[in-house]
Order: sequence, then structure tokens, then C-alpha cells
Amino acid sequence: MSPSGPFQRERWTSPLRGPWLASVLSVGLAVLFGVELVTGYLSHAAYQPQLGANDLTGGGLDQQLFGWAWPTSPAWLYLANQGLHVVAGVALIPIVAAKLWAVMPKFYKWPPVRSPADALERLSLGLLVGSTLFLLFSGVWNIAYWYSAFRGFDFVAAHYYAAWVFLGSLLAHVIIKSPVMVRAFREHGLRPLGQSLADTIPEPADPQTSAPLAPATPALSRRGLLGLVGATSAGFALLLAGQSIGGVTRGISLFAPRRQDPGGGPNGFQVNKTAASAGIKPEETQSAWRLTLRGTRARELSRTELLALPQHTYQLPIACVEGWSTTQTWTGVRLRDLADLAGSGDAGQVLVESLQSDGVLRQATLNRGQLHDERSLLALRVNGVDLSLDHGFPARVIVPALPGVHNTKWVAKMTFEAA
Amino acid sequence: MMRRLYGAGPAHLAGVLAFLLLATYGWTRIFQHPKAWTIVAAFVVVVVAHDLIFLPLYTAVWRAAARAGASTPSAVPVLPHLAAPALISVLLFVVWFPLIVGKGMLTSLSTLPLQGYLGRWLILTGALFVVSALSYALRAARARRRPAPGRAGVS
Repeated sequence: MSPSGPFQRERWTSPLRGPWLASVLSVGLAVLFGVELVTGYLSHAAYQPQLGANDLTGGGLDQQLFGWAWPTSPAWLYLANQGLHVVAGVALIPIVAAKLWAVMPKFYKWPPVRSPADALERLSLGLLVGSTLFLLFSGVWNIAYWYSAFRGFDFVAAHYYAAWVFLGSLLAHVIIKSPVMVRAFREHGLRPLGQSLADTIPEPADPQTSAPLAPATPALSRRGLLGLVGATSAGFALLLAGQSIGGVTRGISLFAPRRQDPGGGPNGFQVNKTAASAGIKPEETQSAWRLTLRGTRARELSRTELLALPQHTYQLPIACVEGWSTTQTWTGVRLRDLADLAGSGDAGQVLVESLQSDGVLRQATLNRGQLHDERSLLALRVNGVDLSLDHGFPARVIVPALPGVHNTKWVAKMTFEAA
Repeated sequence: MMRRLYGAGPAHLAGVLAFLLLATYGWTRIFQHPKAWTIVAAFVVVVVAHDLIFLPLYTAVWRAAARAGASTPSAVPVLPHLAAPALISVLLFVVWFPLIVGKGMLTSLSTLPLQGYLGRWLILTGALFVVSALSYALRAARARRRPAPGRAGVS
């Protein structure tokens, strides 16, 4: 049987394709995917999955890697981590596209499998491409709020475990392909970067590589192609990064979902989820609202009583897992003062619960350092005025370097526990 | 012996199997979710759609464009200056289509507007073509001033 269509190697004619181009693109991918793996791990650690019901992934063996206490300093730690994770993820997309293009003839090689080693390589490649595309697109769809794409699965668990599939298949790919990369750089070094269009010649024809058997005349140099890919990658990053950096850059980032503030005034900053979408009824936040404290003794406090306690003011960010952030000036009662009131001044952790009646993020458990940091507040006011309902009135948690959704809004109950 | 039967050395086999095992662990965790097969089904649909619809389509477009470029030889190939802005624009759409076509829950969850993304995508696409045309004009002018020895067009 003789192959046809894309299985015919002569049909792939681009003179730029070949092991060298694929290797150069892989260097860029390795750097950015390295950033993704590190920031992804830290992002998961920041949720403190070892505490209470914080874990959203179903608690596999891998959770043993997350026993350590997430710090509260620097306060911008989570902001920087998530901004980097999301922006580097979007910057990866043009490079992944270029890499897929550069190696495309190999996807259609004929015969598809030559040996058991080749079969394992094809399997790892399938897992690598599949998990890469899944990670990139599920991430983008999550920050674009296209939640109906996730009807079949849970985003957090699927994105997290897809990263394990990615890591395993990536390492297998590195074992298989690193000799190809070493050979490409040994033969050509970075010389192709110095070649203009007139000097651009195809890599040696070899049916085992992605180099063309019947190359066309080049219309673009390799450095021209790499320059375009790099500029596109940087452009994709700039079109999003403003929502992490804030200020005037927010508006410049044309495709950032959080590119504009939702309103004006002291409460006019970004809202993660509104009270209405969280099912909060305004009447349950009014005069009947009480904060319940549980420690070695139980206390109930009205908002007036909370306002009569010592108030502290700090400028702190809320930073979302989606990469956007906003820094505001919060005023309220220290969490550790509330622990004292409940007779649990030495508590090792605190479970904070919201008025919100359902959703996995209606509650969060904070660690010892987060509970006892002097900047950790049950905020009652922001920028000199009462919190708006959408920002968590009557009271919300603000803790430095804490993932945004763990800064619980509409707080109803705090349970101080030994660690 | 091993090379003949397996196709590579023992280190290859051990390393690849170990890391595939790690990948399999992630895979089994994902598939604890009863509907996770929809992800695999979606991938099969994407691959089949690519091979049967998109691959023939963009191959045909590319060949037609390359033929047109070859029939009008010039010192600076036109094709990359058309392909680059077009491809970047398509990629932007693929990435941000939930915002561009106004799907998604941005407004209902955060009160932020979903309008404007389509317009900004169109303006950006136009700007990419303008920048590309300007850089073509610049390169063509430079090539006229310093004629390079005979290299013309694209295939």
C-alpha cells in the first residue's frame, strides 16, 4: 500500500523545517514550560491542600508534595506567581503552534510505527501534544470565563492532573529527542540565525526527520520566522499582562478579561464573583448578621461590635488564580485578635466559612502564619468606606499573599483549631 | 539483540517506561471523573476535523497563494507579508474566541462588559496587515536600492 495525501513525504515542502528549527523552538518551549511547571506547583501549594477541605483535586498520592506552609511575605508573592503563570501560558501558544508546524510531517510518517521503541515514542508524543493543548486551552478558557466548556469535568482537578500527564510525557520526550537536539546544535550551532533569506538553505533531506525531501524555494529566512514567532509570543503576553500589572497597562491589554474596572469610587475595583452570582441575599447581610467565633469559647459579634474593636489598615492585593490582581487599602480587625476573643490565641489554623450556601470555595482553612500575621484582617472597610455587597459586606478576609478565592467574602463563621 | 527487537537501547526503554508511568498516574486521576471521556472524545473530533477539513483547506490556500506569488516575481517575497498577519489573526481568534464571540460568564459573574473584543480583534487584524505592508514596502525599497543577485519569488 503506498501512502497518499499528507502521508506522502514529498508533499511537505517547506524549506525551513528540520531538526534545527524544531530544536531552537524547543529551547523556547523548555524555558516557558519550566516557568509553567514551577508556578503551577507553587499555585497549587498556595491553596494549602493539606488543610481542612482546601484540596479540590480529590487527594491523590501527589498531595504528599504539598505539606509546607505557604508564606505571607512578600505580600505580592501570589500575585507575581499567578501573573507569571497565566501570561507565560498565553505566550507559549504561538511557540507551540510553530513547533507543531515545524514537526508536522512526522505526525504523518509512513509506516506509522516501525518498532516497539517507535510505538512508545508515538504514545508519549500523543500524550505530550494532547496534554499540552489541553493545559493551554483549558487555562485560557478558564480565564475567559467560558465555563460551559467544562461541563464534562472539573477545571482545577483536570488542569492539575493534566500537568502530571504533561510532565511524564515531556520527560519521556526529552529522553527520546535530546540526541536529535544535541546533533542539530553540534552541526549547525546558532549559524542559521545569522543567515539572510538569500543564504537560507534546507536541512539535509532525511525521511527520518521533518526536513523536506522536495524543498521549495524559501520565502522567509529561519531568523525571520523565529523573529515573527518570538514577536507574536511577546505580543500575546502584552495583550494580557495588564490585568496582572494594573494601572494604565490594564487598558492597553486588549484581550485581558479584566482590562477595565467595573465601576468608579472606593468600591469600583475588580469583583471576582458578585453577591448575586454567589446566591447571597442582601437581607442576610444587614442588621441580623452576626459573626460566629468558635474556639475554646464561642462568641457572636455584630458588625457594630466588630467596628468597636481595634481597627488596622493595610494596603494589600487580591490576586486571582486567573492572573488578574488589584491592590486596595483595607481596614478591619486582625484575625489574631478574633482568635484571642474566642479564647484560642494560640490556634494553629482557622476555618473561615461564608454566608454562601454552596460551592467548594464557600470555605477556606488558613495556616498558622496566615492567622497570626499582623496584616491578616477581617476587613470591614476598603479605601475609607464600608465594603460594598459585591466585595463581601459585612466582612471579608484579607491575608497577604493568599489566593484570591481564599480571601472569603460575606464571612459568617470562623472556627479556630489546633494545627 | 535488544536493538533489533525493541529498536533502541535499554536506557531508552527504562526511561521512557518510567515517565510514561508518571503520565499514566495523572491520566488515571483525571479519569476518576466520570465524564472525563468527553476530553478524549473532543480530541478525536479535533484531530479528525483537522485532517479531513482544515489540512486540505489550508494546504490548498497555501499552494494557491504560493503559485500566485511565483507568477509575480519580485526581489522580496510577498507571501510571508500576507501569511504572517493572517496567521497571527487566526491564532488570536482561536485563543480568545470566547471573548470575541461573547460567550462565557464574564458579565454575569463580575459585571464586566463582554462587548468590544470583536472590534478590537478586527482593528488589531487591520493593524497587523498595515504593519506587514509597511515592512514589505521598506524591504522592497531597500532591495531596489541594492539589487541582490538573482533570487526571485517563492514557489
